[in-house]
Amino acid sequence: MTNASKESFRFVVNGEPREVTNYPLSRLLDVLREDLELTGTKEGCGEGECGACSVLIDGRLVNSCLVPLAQVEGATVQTIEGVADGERLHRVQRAFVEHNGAQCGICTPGMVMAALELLAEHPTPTIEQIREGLAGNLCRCTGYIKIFEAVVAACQQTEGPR
Amino acid sequence: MNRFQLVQPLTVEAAMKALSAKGSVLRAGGVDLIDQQKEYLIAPTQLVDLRKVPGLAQVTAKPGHKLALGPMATLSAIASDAELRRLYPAIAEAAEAVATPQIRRLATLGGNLCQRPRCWYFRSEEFHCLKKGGDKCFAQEGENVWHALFENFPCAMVHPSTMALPLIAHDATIELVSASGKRSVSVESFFVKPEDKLSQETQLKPGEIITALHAPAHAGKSASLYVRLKHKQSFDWPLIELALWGRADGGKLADVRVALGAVAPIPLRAKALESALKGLALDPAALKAKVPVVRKGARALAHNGYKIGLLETTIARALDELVRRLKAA
Ligand SMILES: Cc1cc2nc3c(=O)[nH]c(=O)nc-3n(C[C@H](O)[C@H](O)[C@H](O)COP(=O)(O)OP(=O)(O)OC[C@H]3O[C@@H](n4cnc5c(N)ncnc54)[C@H](O)[C@@H]3O)c2cc1C
Ligand code: SF4
Ligand code: FES
Ligand code: FES
Repeated sequence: MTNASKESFRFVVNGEPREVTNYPLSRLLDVLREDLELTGTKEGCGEGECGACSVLIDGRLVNSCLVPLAQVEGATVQTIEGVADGERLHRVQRAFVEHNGAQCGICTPGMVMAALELLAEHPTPTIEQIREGLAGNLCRCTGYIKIFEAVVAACQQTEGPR
Repeated sequence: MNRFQLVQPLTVEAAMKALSAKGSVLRAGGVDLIDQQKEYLIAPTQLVDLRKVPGLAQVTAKPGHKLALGPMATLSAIASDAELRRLYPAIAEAAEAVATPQIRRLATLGGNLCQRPRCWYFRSEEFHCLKKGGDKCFAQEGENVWHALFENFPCAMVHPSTMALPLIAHDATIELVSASGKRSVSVESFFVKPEDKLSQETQLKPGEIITALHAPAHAGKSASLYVRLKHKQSFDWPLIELALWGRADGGKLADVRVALGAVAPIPLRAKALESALKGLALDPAALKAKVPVVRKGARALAHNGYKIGLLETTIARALDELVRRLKAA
């Protein structure tokens, strides 16, 4: 039986180069939360069903509970901590605040990441594209309508650089 | 769960070599494997990651050429290829229907075909069922609401692979390599029935790797589609899913292939229905009149009889759409 040993991996998180030494198959979710202390990314199900752990890897939305550390070597990772510009919230985050898009908040970071990717791919998404873009994110509290409204509002808001 | 080796070979040959070591398991997107490990269905000592092997992720659809798909093509890459969608719509539509956007980014075609059953007894560590080497299929007398209607003895699992269906409808083949050489099998015959082999769902041999998938060039006046019926509107596993391919000639349905999912332990080709449909006029009413032929051989369990009606309705709707597409082709 071969026992894996810890190795060093380098990747960029929220614009900063980072190096992490851990097992190659450690879940990115745990690495973010424990090694890098970025606890904004949440764990819901741990098996790809809820989207609470969603992050962007090289701009693409994935479940960090399903991605092993070795897979992000050399990649660029964006988490919810990298979304606001200092104190200034991103328009998606502002829309969640203004439209009561969060209750307990566990799903919110994942929802925001999904909305970010959606807007990057479809700057003026149709209702169908919004539904599809959020289809991998579950919410136990809001009943989705408020979240949906927040994302629609964020799409319509064009002023400002972000 | 993290204490085993991950190797990342750069060629298929190196992957084959690594895979020959005891306790080695191939890893593609890892979506199904992580779940299998969590449920203690497997305890690999080494994972052989295929992600760094170049050339395995192609999606090449061109008019007049046969289709070539790499096993490492992700479902999102398959869903978003415009030429593939135009020439082989069932394949793109199926890829788009699987799971969530996040999962489709990771999940690969090869992994989708080789994923293990989702039967809840099989996935639960607490049930040592027939398929896992035990002496009982708990689904026969137990909770079988999602289970198989056809070929459901001795094991009533439904095969989970959505991608198998459009590939069968398009008459695709799988290329395999191993230390003992290359071979190619039809996607249809790749899957094995529990009565022939209980411990696995495919005829993949130890150490064998899927290296490519091919389907015949797009034929004129042909069309295909994929449909699924599910419990929830947002993402969900299918209650019924199917892929349909047809070719029209002189106002008739000259040829047709129907592949049914979520109803049998293998992706099931509905051959009796195909024979009944073949040669009929491209008239939805005439075609739909033959749908009940599909019931032949169905054996409902205590909680899954509802699937018979759903199956017939889904096929009828799919035939309407096939005729519409064939007339537009
Ligand atoms: C919430 C959720 C919903 C889902 N819904 C659906 C659905 O509707 N339809 C559906 O079909 N699936 C569904 N899935 C399952 C998912 O599609 C599969 O788990 C995924 O496609 C597996 O692909 P992978 O690349 O991650 O495979 P892996 O997990 O990496 O591998 C799976 C198996 O395939 C083998 N393998 C992989 N590549 C090769 C190769 N080239 N040659 C030989 N063997 C190989 C591996 O050894 C392993 O045994 C769902 C999953 C989740 C989590
Ligand atoms: S249906 Fe198959 S996998 Fe499920 S309990 Fe029965 S033998 Fe096991
Ligand atoms: S925690 Fe990753 S999808 Fe639920
Ligand atoms: S706000 Fe609680 S899960 Fe969405």
